[in-house]
Amino acid sequence: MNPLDEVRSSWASLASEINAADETKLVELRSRFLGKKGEIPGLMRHLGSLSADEKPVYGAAVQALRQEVESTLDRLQEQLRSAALKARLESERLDLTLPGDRSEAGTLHPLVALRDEILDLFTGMGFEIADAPEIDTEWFNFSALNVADDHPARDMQDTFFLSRERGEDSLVLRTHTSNYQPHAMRDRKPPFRLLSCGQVYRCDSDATHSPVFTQVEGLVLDKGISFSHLKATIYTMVRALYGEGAVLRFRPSFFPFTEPSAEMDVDCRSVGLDRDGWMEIGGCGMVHPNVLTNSGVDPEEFQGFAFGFGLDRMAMLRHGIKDIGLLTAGDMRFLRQFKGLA
Amino acid sequence: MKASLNWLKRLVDLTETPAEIASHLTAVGLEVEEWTAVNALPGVVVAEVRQCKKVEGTKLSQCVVWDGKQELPVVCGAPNVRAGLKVALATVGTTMPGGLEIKAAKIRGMESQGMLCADDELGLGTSHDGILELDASLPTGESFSKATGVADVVFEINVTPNRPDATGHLGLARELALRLGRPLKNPLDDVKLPAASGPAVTPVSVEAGAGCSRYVGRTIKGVKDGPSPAWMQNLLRTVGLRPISALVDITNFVLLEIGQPLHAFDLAKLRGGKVVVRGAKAGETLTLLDGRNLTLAAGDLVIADEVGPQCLGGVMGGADSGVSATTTDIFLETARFVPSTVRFLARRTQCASDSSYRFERGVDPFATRAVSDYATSLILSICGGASDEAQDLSSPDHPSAKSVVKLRHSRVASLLGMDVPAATAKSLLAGIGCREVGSDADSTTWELPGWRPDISGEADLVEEIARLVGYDNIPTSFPSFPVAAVRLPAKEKWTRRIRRAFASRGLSETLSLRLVAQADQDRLQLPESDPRAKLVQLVNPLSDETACLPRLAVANLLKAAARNARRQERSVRLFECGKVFGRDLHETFEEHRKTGIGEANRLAGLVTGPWADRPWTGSEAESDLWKAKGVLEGALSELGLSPVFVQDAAEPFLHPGRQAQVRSSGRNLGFFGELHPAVQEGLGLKFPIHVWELDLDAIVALLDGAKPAQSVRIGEFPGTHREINAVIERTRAASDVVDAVKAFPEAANELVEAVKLVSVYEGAGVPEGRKAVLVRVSYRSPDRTPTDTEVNALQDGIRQKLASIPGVTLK
Repeated sequence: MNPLDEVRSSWASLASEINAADETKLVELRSRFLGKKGEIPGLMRHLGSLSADEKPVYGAAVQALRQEVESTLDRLQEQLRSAALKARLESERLDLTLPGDRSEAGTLHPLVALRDEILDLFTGMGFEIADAPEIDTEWFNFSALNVADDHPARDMQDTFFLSRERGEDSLVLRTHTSNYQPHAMRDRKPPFRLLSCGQVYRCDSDATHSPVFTQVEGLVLDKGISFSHLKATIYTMVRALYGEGAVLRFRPSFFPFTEPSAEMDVDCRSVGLDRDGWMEIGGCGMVHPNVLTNSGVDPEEFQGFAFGFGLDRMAMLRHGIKDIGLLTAGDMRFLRQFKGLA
Repeated sequence: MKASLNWLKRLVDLTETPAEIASHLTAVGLEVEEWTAVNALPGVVVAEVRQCKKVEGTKLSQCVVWDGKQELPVVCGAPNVRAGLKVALATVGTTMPGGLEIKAAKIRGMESQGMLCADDELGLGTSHDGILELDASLPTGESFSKATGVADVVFEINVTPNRPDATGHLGLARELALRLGRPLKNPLDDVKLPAASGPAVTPVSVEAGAGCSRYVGRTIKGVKDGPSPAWMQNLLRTVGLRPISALVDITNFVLLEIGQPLHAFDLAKLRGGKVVVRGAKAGETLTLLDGRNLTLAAGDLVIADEVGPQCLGGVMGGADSGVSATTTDIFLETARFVPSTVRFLARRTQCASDSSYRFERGVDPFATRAVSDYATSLILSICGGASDEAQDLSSPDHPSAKSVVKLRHSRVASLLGMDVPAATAKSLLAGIGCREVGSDADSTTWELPGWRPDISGEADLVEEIARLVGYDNIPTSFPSFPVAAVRLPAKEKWTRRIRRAFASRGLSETLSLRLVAQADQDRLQLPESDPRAKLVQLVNPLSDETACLPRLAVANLLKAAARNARRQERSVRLFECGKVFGRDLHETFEEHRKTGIGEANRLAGLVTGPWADRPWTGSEAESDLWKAKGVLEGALSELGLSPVFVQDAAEPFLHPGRQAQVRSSGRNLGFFGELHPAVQEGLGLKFPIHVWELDLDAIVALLDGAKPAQSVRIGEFPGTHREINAVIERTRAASDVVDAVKAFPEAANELVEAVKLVSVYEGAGVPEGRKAVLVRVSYRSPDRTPTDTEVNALQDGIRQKLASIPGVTLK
C-alpha cells in the first residue's frame, strides 16, 4: 500500500470515531492529519520520488484528501459549536414574567398638574403669568380692590390676620389671588393679559373647604374690552378644559372689584358629572373703575375684565377625590395613584 | 334669606311654578339655592261636623263628619267639637307632620275613620286646647292647605351683600314684577293712618355722631297684645320665625317684608318716659332680649331712657323694656343706623341679628317715615290703640337728597359689547326704581332709589342694565390683540423641569398645608437662638394645629412621613416645591422688606423605608443615604447643575456626621442629610430618614442664567490612565483628594480628560483610623496619542502635589 492509501484508509477507519468526536478530539484529529507535521502534509515528502507524469496525479489526490478531511472536520466543529450554543442558550433561559429592575417612577400632584395645564392653556391664549405675595397688606388685598373697610364684603372673606393693628399697611394672608391685580398694574402699563395662580387663605374649614386652597385668576386690560369679550374668553377656557359640549351659564352676582359681576356655572351633565343641575366654577366681571383708579389706571381710557376660579374642586372632580384633606396629607397611598400626569 | 311664595304673591301677581320663579330670581342675580314646599298636608281636608254626641263618662264625642263626598264616623276628644263646626279632617291613610299615620280604628267600641286636627298636629302652632275651628265659609271637601292658604313654598336665596333691598320680600317682588312685566303692589304706597291722637308725648333726642342718621318715634297707647292673625303667623312660620305676639310679630313682619328693622319698647318700662339715642358711657351695662349681659364700651350706640341703655342700636333690644303680655302703651322705633356703626357693634359684641344684618347692608334712608306709618297702621288695626304725632329726627350726616348718576349711552355699549337701545335701558332702570331727572343726546341722568345704596356710579347702572337684559343675551366676541410670543416665567419653566426630574426618580410630589402648628416646628428641636425656631403666628387662627406659617418645608414632609408610618406605609418618597415664611426671609417681593415677614420658595425632599430595585429576590433593601443623595444629585445634574456637598453644615435636626451643605456655582442652596436620631425618635419614626431642603429661587436663578451646554471637540486617538492611591484620615472628605487632583495646575492640561473617584477603602493594609482613596486620572487628546513620557511627567506632578498636602500619604 502506498503512503497515500495508508493515510486514506487510516482516515476512513476512524470514521465512526470522528463522527463522535468532541471538541478536544477534533483538535487532536486536525493536528494529526492537517498539522504542519501531520499525516497529509507528510505525504508531500514523497513527491520527490515520483516521475514528472505521476506528480500532478499524486498531488491532486493528496489535495483531494486534504479537502475532504478539512471539510469534514470543519463541519463537525460547526455542529459542535452550534450544539454548545444551543445548550448555553437553554441554560440561560430567564423568567421574563418577573419584574425588571426599575426605579419605580414617582408621580406629580394632581392639583399642581392641573395648574400646569391651566397655565399652558392661558399662555397659549397670550396671557403672561404674574405672581404676587401670599402675605400682603390690607391695601393690596382689600382697599385697592374696592373692598372698603366697613363693607360687609369683608365678611364674605374671613381673613387671617398677621398684624394685631388694623390698617392699610397691616398684614393679612391673601384671601384671593386678586391681590396680584394692583401689584400687576403698578408694575406695568396696559394693555396686558395676565394670569396668576396660587394659594389663598380663608378663615373657614369643613369637609368641603380647606383654609388653604388654590385659585387662578386672569386680568385683561385694554381699550374697549367688554363683557362680551369676557364671555368669549371664559367659554374658550371652559371648553378647552371640559370639551366642546360644556354648557356654561353666567349669573349676575356681586364682587366689590368688578361691575358688572357674574358667577359662572357649568351644567353638571355637560361636563361629565353624573347629576343634574349647575355647578358654580368661579366669578368674573368687568374691572370696577375704582380698582383701576386705585392703581393709577384711567378707567375712561382702559377697561378690562377679570375672572377667577378655584382649582381644588376642579382637581377633585377630575380625579374622583372625595376628601379635600387628602390633597395636602402627603399620604403615599393617595399620591402614588396619579401616574401619567407628567 | 328665606322667602315665602305666599308672601311674594301679596306683592305681585304670580302664576308661575316655584321652579320658574326660582329661575327668574337666579337670572337677575338673586340666586335661589333651593326651594321647598311646606304645609302641603296631603290628606287633610275641610270637613263639617254634622252630628256630635258626648259619650257619657269620657271626654270623647261621637261625631258624624261630612267630607264633601260621604259621612264618616269620627271619635274626637276635643272639648270644642260640636255640630255645625267646620274642621280640618285628617282622612284615613294620611301621615301627619309629626309622623302619625291615621288609620281606621275602634275607640271604646266606636268606629272612627279619621281625626279632627288641632293646629299642633298640623305643624301650624303649639296650641292643643282644642281642634281648629275653621271659617264657616271654607268649601267642604277642599284640601285644607289650599282652602286656608297655609300651603306655601319657601325659597332659600343667597343675597349678595350689595343688595339690602333683597333682604325683604318687597325687593324680591320688585325684581319679579319687572321681569314678568306686572305691577308691584307696594304696601308702603297707600298707608292710611287715622288722625294722630295728639302731639308727640315721648321726648326723643338723637346725639350727633352716635351712629344714628334718622330716627322716627311714635307712642301708641291703648294697645292690646295677643296672638297675631293666622295669615301673618303662617307667613312668619314659613320663613322660619316662631310667632310670639301681635306686637312682636308685626315688627318682624315689617322687617321681613320691607327689609327695615323696627323696635317696640314697652313705654311703661322707659324710665323718665323719654328716649335718648346716644353713645354709651364706658362700663354701662345692658341685658339683651336673648339674656346676654353686655358691658358697654364708650361710644357704643344705644337707645337709652333717662337712666340707662335699653337697646343696642340696630342690633338687639334690651330684656327690660321689651313688650310683654301686660304691655298697653308702646314706643315704636323706626330708624336708619349708620351701617359701619352697626357692623362694628354686632361684630364686637358677637350679636349678629336679623336687624344688624339689614342695617349693616344699609336700609333705605328715605323710607323711614313710610315704614313707621305702615307698621303703625298694622298695629292699630290688629292691636287697636291710638298713635301720637310721629317725631322724625335726622342727624346732619343723613343723606339729604337721593344720589344722581349720569349714564352715557356709549358706555353701556362699550362695557357690555352689545347695543342696548336707550329706550330699553330706560325702562329697565325705571323698573328698579330709578327716576329720570335729565337727559341729552348722549346721556341720561338718573335719580337713584333709596333702597339701592349699592348703586353709586355709571358702571353700577351698566350692571343693572346687563343683569336685567340677561347675561345670557350678551353676545360673545373675541378681543383683538397683537401677536405675542408668551413664555412661561423662569420660575414656572424651571420648577416644572425640577418636578419632573424628581418624579422620574421615584418620588411623589406632595403639597403641604401651609398652615402648621408651632409644635410641628418644635419637633425639629431648634435652639431658641435659631431665628427659624419661632414661627410666624396668625392673630386669629382656626385651631392650634393651623395657627402658624411654616418656616421649614421639611417639617411638613416629616409630618407626612409620620402620618404614613401610622398607616403602616413605611416607604415614603416625597418632594415638594412650596413656600416657607419667616421674619428672616425678605427676598421674594419688594413689600416684604417693608413688612418684616417674607416668603421664599423651597425645594424639599424626603426618602425613607424600603426601596428595592428587584423586590422579588426577597431582600428588603432599605433606602439609605446614598440612595437619597443619588436622587438629589441625579435630579440636579439632569437639570445641568453640578452640586457640591460640603460637609460643614450644622443643622441641629440632622445627624452631625451625616449632613452636608449643597452648593452649586459657589452658592449655598441648602442642606441634605440624615435626620438626627433623637428627632427621628421624637417623631415616632423607627427608621433612618433622609431629607433635603434647597432654595428653589436660587436654583431657578442658576438654571435660568446658565448657558446652553457647549460641545467640546472629541477625537479618534486612544487614551490612557493612571491611578493614585492616597491615604487620609477617616473623617477627612474623600472629595479633598479628588479636588486636589483636579486643582493641580497641570491637570488643566489639555491631556487630562477626567478625574474620577474609583474607590474608598478602609481595612487590612490601611492603618487604623485612615482610609485609602483611589483616584483615576484619564489622559487623552483629540489630536494624538499621549506619550508615556508626558503622561508620567504629569502624573508625577500630581503625586508630588498630593504628597505635599499634610495628612496625605501615597501608597
